[in-house]
Amino acid sequence: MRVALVCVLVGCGYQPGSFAHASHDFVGQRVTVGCLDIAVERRADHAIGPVLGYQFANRCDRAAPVDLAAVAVIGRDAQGADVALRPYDPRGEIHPAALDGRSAGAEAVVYGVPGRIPGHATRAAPIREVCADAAALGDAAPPHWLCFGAPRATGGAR
Amino acid sequence: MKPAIAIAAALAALAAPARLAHAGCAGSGGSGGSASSGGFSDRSWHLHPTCKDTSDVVGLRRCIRFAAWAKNLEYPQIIIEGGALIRQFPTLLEHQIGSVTHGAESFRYHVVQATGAAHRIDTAMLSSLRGSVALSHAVYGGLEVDLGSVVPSGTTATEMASSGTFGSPDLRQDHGLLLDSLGVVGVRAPLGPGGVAVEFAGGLRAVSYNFRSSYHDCHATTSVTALGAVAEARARGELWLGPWLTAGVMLGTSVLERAWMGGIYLGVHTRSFGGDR
Repeated sequence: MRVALVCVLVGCGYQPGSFAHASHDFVGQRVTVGCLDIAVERRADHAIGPVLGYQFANRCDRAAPVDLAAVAVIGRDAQGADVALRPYDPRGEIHPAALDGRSAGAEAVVYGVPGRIPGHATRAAPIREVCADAAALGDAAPPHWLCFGAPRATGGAR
Repeated sequence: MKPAIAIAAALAALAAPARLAHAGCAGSGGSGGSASSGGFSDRSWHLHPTCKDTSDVVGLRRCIRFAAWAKNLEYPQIIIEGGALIRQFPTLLEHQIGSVTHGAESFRYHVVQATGAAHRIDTAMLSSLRGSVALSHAVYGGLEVDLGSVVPSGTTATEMASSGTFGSPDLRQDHGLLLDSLGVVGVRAPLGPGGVAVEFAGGLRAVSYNFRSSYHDCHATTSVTALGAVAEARARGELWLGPWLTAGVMLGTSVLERAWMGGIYLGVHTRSFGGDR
């Protein structure tokens, strides 16, 4: 809150390409898609499945679309089999939104492996590698896949 | 909260001169016009977070909703502006009647134009605070409060309607206090690194004219409060200092009388560059 107030008073906003903002760290792999500077990191897995943390900032002066629901995420298990992962969204919260110009935001999403989502039959194979189409976050094409190996530590998401 | 405090303080300040009295002059003072008292209570508010999350992951957290970073675009744009104004307007003091008390004696007086003086114009230096909301992409509406000091012109004279044991008090005009409460409607358009706007402002003006009264060895302060209407057309030009901060100037003229105003301001916007780019 104080940071936001200071920013308003001195007139600061996100500087395009800086991947730096007072309230976001931009950890992980970085990519620029349209108006968005995006950083994606794979966090420690949750019992439900892999967790991806997204930080994004608007390079433009106008609002830009951010659509986490549109991000295609694919997991690869130890046997090399690909599986399409879906965001765990029990309350149906994830929806397309718009990020104000020169602003930044962040979300973390746990992706459900079909066999591990509560209420589904157990599926044993863990996800070794996760790939996400970052271009879809900014409603852009062609796809820009970012891939992540197994996280160093497990024990649950932040 | 601050506007409410400012309004309350202004109302209290308008009423305060009527209660001022010089030490040793029991019961002294006076008032005229339609002054009223005001006040506010001091209450402390403490915020205790009632919701704590152990995770920031969507679906696992409960306190912060998804896409909280997009919240400012879900509501109409709000603009808060503060600045300084100078105004000149025909005085509201003429033909006003007031009274002043010195000890057990009370005197009535009325305000007259000084001999040879032109039609009297008051000059006021004001602080301005206003909040406005974008009603559409170009049209906005808001509320404005201007509070400040009226500079004594030196062309005002008073005529006492009564006299006492030691004759009549000598009244000299002091700084006054002005409060404008206005509604604003305007149209704006982006222009280069800033924007321009034209707007209409209308509302109520309250001025408390203060006088220092000297009677024998007794000194007191008295005031006359007058109300008037404000209706003015303004032109504004502003420059973006940052995504949410503007600095601007404005000029206006009354549509009711020969009066003008000018000012500078800083504005904070809830939408980057006003959503214009």
